[in-house]
Amino acid sequence: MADITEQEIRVFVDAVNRYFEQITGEKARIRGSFLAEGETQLPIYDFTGLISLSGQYRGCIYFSATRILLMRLLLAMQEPRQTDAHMLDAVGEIANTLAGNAREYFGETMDISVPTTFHGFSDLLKSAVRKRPYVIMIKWKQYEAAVIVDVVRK
Amino acid sequence: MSWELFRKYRWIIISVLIFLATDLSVLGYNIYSSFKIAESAVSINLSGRQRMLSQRTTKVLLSLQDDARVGVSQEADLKELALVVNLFDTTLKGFRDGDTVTGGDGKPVFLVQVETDEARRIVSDAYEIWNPYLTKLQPLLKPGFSDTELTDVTTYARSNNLKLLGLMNDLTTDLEKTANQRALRLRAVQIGGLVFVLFNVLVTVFISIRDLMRGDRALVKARKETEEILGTVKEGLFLLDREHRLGSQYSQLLPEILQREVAPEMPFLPILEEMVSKEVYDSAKDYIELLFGERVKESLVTALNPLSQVEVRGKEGASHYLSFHFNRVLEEGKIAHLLVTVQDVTDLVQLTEQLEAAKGQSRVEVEVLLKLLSTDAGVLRQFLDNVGNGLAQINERLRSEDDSELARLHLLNHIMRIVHGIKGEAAALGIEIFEDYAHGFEKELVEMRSKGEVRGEDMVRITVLLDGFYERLASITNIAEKMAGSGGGDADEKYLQTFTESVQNLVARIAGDAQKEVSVVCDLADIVHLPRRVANELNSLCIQLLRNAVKHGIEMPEERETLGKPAVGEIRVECREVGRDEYEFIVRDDGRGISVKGIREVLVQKGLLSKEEAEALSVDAVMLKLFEPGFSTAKEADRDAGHGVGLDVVAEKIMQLRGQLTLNSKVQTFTEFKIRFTY
Repeated sequence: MADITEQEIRVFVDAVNRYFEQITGEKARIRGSFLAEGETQLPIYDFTGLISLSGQYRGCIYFSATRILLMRLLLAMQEPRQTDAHMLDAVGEIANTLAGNAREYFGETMDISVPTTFHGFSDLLKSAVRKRPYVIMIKWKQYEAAVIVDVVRK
Repeated sequence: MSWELFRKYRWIIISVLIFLATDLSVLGYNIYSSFKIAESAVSINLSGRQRMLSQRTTKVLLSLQDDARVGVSQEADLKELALVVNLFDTTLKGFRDGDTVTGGDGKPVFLVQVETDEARRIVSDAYEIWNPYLTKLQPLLKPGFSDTELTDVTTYARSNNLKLLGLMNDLTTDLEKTANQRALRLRAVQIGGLVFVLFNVLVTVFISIRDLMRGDRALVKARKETEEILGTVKEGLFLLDREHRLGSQYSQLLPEILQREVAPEMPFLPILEEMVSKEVYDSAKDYIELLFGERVKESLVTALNPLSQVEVRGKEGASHYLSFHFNRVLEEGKIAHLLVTVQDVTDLVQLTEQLEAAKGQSRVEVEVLLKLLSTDAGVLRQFLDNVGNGLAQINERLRSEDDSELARLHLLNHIMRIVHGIKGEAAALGIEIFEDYAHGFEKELVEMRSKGEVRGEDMVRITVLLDGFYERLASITNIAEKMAGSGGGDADEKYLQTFTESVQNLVARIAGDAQKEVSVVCDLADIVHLPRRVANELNSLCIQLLRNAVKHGIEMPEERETLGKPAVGEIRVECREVGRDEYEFIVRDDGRGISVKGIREVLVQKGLLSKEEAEALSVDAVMLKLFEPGFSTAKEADRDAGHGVGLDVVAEKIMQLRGQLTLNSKVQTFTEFKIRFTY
């Protein structure tokens, strides 16, 4: 089992950062990064968008954000309705961006599922393939989010 | 024309030659026959005139008799007689021998000798009549002939005139017959020639059509075979011309392999430019030019191919590996094209990488296995625990909520201390792969710190490095667990031996790297009375002090001799029980000592303090600077010194032991670290 590289992790993180820049004109930035020791250390915020990978890569990648960040994002998108459904749509769209960038970068070597979204915690968000999934903490304005990369290369 | 070309078109060439030969022969015969027919026409014409002349001779003779009888002048008749006799005689002679005679129009014309036996007989018979006739006519052609002579010749004429006329008729008939035969022969030759030429043309057309059809069939077959080959091969195949354009045909898989649309005659270089870096593109362009150069041997430049295994960007951004091979295609000894073979070798490259990783992993495992066989299981377990704790500490700090610039810098220093400590312990145990990884990790951290700002992105890099560390730790732990249970002997004795050996090995290696000569004296017997945890802490601490002693304390052998010291430096490592549960751990070297002045200079050089501030510091304050993160007096960084990590680790360990440090030093004499602690 070969491990996923830094460059490959950056593909996902850069995708999220670019998304914020394109939609809001303000880049998100990497606040920090660590390895999650077990599911208790996974930073699951209020809303999460997840994509699963199979093929040459296996596992899942997800974007999790606080409600306040998503509210602010919806405002920046000039979306006045701020229901849970709209929040889920927003994280779903970011997960979709993750999928699109992954597909563009990895090509046929990666099979990517359609995004799934959650409010709160889900069993799907438990550490899946890595003993210690990568957690990349993101800050947009003063709000928190995280990209979790729980992927191994076959 | 080459021999090959002649062979290919030999039937058409032979046919054309036969046609020309036939045509020329018939033409030649035609000219010859026309000339002969013209001769025959003259002969027939003159032969007809002979018939008329024989009649006119008889008529003139009879007229002369009438003239004599009535007594009129005979002059006109005699003139005509002389003319017709002469014409008849010379013409007959012409028929017999071939001669120039007076033609029908009064102009001289050549009369050919008769050719057939029948004609020669007729001429001969005519002479038999004409010779006596001419003899008898002679007197009349002169003035003053007698009546008897006239009567004699007239009588002869009357009796032979019809015979002579008949012979001249026969001659004319024979000449006409000969002329007819000649005309018939000419016609036959012409018809024969025409038929032959027609046949030749038909044969040529047949052969040509047959050859063309055969050629077409071969061409269709060849094209079909080429299409089958190009449609079946798993590689991308195409031809490249001198203008770097693709050929009209290429293998079916080419667009798929290149992940781009391709078309016949398409320029190749723009496709390549999209796929590879500028550097590779420029090299590839040069290489292709080289291959088209007539003077360069193909085999000599193959090694220069920058595309033999190249990472390329796919149309959709994903990278993969392709292998391009170029072979010259020669036409009549000249380079006409390059045959390019492209293969997708992504799987192969990945497999090779995995194989290399597996090989590396095996090397680690074998190395660790060998080390474990000669290492105390307890020491190793403690080491692995220390590493695990160190990594956990790093990860815990990475999770820190504080993302200020200063917090990150502190975090970086903290991580460096932990990594440096692990590196030292790994070196002492001789697990080089671990030591090397920690060294690489440390180097990257130093690089990040040197940039002046630590960014969030750097944290991702640190996390990846941390993960690599965890992976190695897992491998080694796994092996250590498998090995657990083996070994034996007195644990304390073995621990002491391992501790002492680790000290000696480390000093020997660092001294070797620094080209210094150092001996170590160990008095560590009391260390076995300490709990292993504490002993291991001392070991980590000792490693840093030994590094400093060898790198900064002990002088080069020549320098020592100049100072009147033994060339071989000495380091003493002692652990003594000095009271109830109270110990002293001492590391002392007989090197150059600590120069307060030197430290002040470094502080100023590094811009940490102004000259005035440095001068204002007390000696104790200067000494304390040695224990601050990032401080180093080494000029260049290597794996033993220069990163500014070392004494801060010592300070941290002493704090963990709740110990007290006494630092004694005398310039050019010694340095001694004495740590007093209880447990």
